[in-house]
Amino acid sequence: MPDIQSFISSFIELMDIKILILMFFSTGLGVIIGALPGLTATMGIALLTGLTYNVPLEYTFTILMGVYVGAIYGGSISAILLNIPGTASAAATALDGHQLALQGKAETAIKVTRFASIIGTFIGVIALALLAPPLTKIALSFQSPEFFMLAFFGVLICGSIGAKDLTIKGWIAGMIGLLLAFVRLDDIESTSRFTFGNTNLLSGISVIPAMIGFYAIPEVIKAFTGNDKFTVNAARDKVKEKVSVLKITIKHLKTVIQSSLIGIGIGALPGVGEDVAAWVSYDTAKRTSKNKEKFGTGIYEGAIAPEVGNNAAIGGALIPMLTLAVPGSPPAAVLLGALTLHGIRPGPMIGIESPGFIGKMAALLMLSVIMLWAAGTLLANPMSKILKVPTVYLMPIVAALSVIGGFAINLSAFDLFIVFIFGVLGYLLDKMDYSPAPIVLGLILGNMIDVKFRTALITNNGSFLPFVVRPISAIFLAVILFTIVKQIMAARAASKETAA
Amino acid sequence: MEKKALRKADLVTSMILMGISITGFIMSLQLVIRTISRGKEWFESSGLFPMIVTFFLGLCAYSLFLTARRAGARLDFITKENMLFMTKTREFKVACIVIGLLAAYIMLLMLPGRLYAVVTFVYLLTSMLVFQKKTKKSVIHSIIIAAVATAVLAFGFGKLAMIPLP
Repeated sequence: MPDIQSFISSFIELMDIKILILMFFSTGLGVIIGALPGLTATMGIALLTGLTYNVPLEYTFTILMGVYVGAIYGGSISAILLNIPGTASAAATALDGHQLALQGKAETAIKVTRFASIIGTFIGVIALALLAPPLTKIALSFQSPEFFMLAFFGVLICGSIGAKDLTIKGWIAGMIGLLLAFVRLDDIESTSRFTFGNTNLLSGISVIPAMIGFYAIPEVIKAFTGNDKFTVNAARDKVKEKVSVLKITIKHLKTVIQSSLIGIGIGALPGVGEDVAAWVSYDTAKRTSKNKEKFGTGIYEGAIAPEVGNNAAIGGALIPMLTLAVPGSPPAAVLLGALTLHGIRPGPMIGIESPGFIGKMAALLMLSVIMLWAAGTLLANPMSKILKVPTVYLMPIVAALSVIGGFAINLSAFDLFIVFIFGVLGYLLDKMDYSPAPIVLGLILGNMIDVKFRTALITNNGSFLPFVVRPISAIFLAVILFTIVKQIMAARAASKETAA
Repeated sequence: MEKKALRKADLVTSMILMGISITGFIMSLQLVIRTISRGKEWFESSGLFPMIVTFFLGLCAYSLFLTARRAGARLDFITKENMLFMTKTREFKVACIVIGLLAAYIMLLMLPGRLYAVVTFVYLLTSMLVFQKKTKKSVIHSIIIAAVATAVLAFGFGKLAMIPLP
């Protein structure tokens, strides 16, 4: 098992004081980012990708992984104390977590969700270390039709599952993303496409500035337009829990294992990510629980399930990102951009071009689990004070950071326009319930989808047969058609019901 | 946004999307024709896949249009009174101010000269003050926070961390 060896040796290498300190502060920063309503894991990673452009690769990913893990957990703190999930992935946690806080068990609820997050991330690490290397070997047999189908399936499924309102809007969002990705100098013909004579667009729309715009600026605008006034519960128990956190978690071991598997599975689906993993874990736990009627009234099982699910999704999301260059979640999509910026090319060749890199990422994720325990414990009590920071002071600073982050990567003033335009577009689309995830995934994968599609046709002299004849491609095609037909049937049934 | 209003917005969006898809389809078709006229095969053209995507975008937009119509959405809500009413809502005004301030900030950063610290301080202070009750305490708080944030961004990021500033 050379991959496990590389994981262990990478983990030992990480026992460097600088990396440990950096990981501790990054995880802590992630917890704060995740806990503050309006700041999300994706936004945090996107901003820091811009700001760490000059930092060596090892330190950059220490920071980014720490923020990723910290932010996904951090969302649960505000969900429990404020009933406002700091990140979308913690929305399900608020249902029972906040009820526990109202019952005077805020401190125990935070401890239980932290422990659940640690277990979830840990199981995600194991999945990453064990599943990614064999998947890379399988992916080596992929050719253009398989890559095309996989990436197209990713955008489609992300649109279907990630849709906030109608499924069709998820698909539209994915297609908008694809169209935006086509704005560039074409890789095959070397002709400019949809650039309208603007030379800045020849290399395509810069992904990181676009993502900063999409994820940060709408939150800044929404924070000012909203009238949210909330009360912060103290992170202390008014009612002492007789059973320890460990015993509470062990009591719900079935939910932990079930949610971990759901988290890894959904995390591995292209673009779907932690939010959906948390909701599906919560829903499954509710349906399979002996206490299903108590869900939503403040039970630990209801807080454990989404937290294990969303944190296990981190490891799951990194598997397709590293092995197939298809990100499993929006934060993983930003990480993909960050990897490319630092000269790492994710995909089937990663094991050959960057040997041991998957093990290194798994080791970083493992280290972040340990630091999450330390930083989470230290930040639990001050968090009720941090959450009181008024939006009016915080959000303009986020906007200023977005501008630096957007500029720093290419040192291009044009990227500032990208941040601004995508920010306003993101706000408008958010108002109309379009999810940003399919747009971003379309933007990231669009060029690959187009190039692989035409390469397959060129190689086969214009024949579409390879898309149907090659087994893996045919399976993806069947799943794509099934997804489309299923959605159309569901929409028809719904419209008939409305008419009746 | 409530469902009824959302469907009205969907109706307008679907029409814009249909416009985009038709324009995109024509532009893609032109790219395909250009490729063929150069003696190359149609499947090599950079317009081929965009043509497929714009076609399906058009279909999806049309489906959204029908869904919105079935839900009772009509274009008759686009009246002068409704537009005037919308511009008077708090959300619209605040969104315009936030977007306007950000646009001004970015434009000012592009001016020649090393104005980053000044422009950032002015942007932060204006953004902090514009939406809160202006008491002596809030003004002093805003000035201190804007100054500290500017110092961290300009000196900490720009000089110490060597992050290039706009």
